[in-house]
Amino acid sequence: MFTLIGYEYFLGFLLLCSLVPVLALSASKLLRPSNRGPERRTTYESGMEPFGGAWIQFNIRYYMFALVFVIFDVETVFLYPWAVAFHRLGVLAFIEALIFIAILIVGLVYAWRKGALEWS
Amino acid sequence: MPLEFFLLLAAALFCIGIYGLITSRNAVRVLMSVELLLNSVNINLVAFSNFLDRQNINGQVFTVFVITVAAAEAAVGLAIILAIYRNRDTVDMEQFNLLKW
Amino acid sequence: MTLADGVQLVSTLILAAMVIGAALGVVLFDNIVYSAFTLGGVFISIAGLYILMNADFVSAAQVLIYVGAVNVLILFAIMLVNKQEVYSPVPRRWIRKLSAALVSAGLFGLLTVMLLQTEWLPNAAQTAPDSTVILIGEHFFSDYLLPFELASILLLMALVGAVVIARRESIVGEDTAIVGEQPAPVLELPERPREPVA
Repeated sequence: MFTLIGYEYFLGFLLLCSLVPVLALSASKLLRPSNRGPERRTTYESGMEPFGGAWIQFNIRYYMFALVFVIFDVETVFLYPWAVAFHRLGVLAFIEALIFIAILIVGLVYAWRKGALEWS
Repeated sequence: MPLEFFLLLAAALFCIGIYGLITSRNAVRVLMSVELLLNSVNINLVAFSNFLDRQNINGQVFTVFVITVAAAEAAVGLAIILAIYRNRDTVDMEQFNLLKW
Repeated sequence: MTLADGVQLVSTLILAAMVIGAALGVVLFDNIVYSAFTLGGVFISIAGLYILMNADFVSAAQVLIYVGAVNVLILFAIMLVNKQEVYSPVPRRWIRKLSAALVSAGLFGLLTVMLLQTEWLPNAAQTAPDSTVILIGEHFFSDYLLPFELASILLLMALVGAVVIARRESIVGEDTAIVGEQPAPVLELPERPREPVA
């Protein structure tokens, strides 16, 4: 049984929205003239010419930033219920949350000292 | 929808993940299959929490911890794959036979 | 059946079909980049199913962590290791695939029989909590306090371990320069020779 309040409209919108791309693409497929010139084969029909291959190797720094982001994203998910239920939890929970944050700040300091947060 | 529907869905997802885990040759795809397995477990936990334990939702709390473990596993696992790729210049699972007897 | 029930039924079926289809895509696509994007589809569909199972906070956490962070991490890792690699053919690989498929299908059959024969006792009499977020927060700081603090230790270990493993090359060098990095190519925009318009 579904008991969340306000999500019925969300589900309805979800169903309607899932029809939009299907309708848009099929309508344009029906209406457009079928013209297959060489220009239509390019990636950006009216923009920069793409150069080089798409399969290039990226720099490891991107991975470093994504890594630090993942860890602190998870931290956010843990701290959000604490913030919402703050008025019910009291001082002890505040100290416990501070311990939680302090442990992760150790990791942040480590990553900083190792240069994982620096671009150059 | 009955409880069995969600359990069947999770079982199907789990079996797809097992198949991918066994047959993939790309190491990154093996990690993706592990994520599928963890997600099927999460579906089970949330379904049990919704249908059997609606009062105090222990299953949802557990799901948050499983998501945490999955994120940590993905971070470390992908770092290991990057290290292996740097040393051996491949991500083919058939080439990772250093520990094979 | 009211309209709301119908909407829930249809969206549950659509989301379940999307989960299974996208999961098959993850496993069966040849191109690993397609697999990564269909993995994002699996995660988003599962988040929708969580909303249908009254778990709004878990659904938000699923979108935030899996789609926003883990999937991006996987895509970055693919971009870091991607080389159009031609795998050396393994003799009789189809036997392995077939046996793996048989094992998976057998496991699915076993699970199906098991969970259809078990007598579940759905407890519909219980009242749902007002806000799942507040309830989860109270769980975190009462009976799940130790796992909560251990989660931060786990995250710390994951961060330190992944930084050490992924950056091992920079410890060897005398400075923090990353070995094996290509010099930046000269930025230029080559123009395609234009054909005269007929």
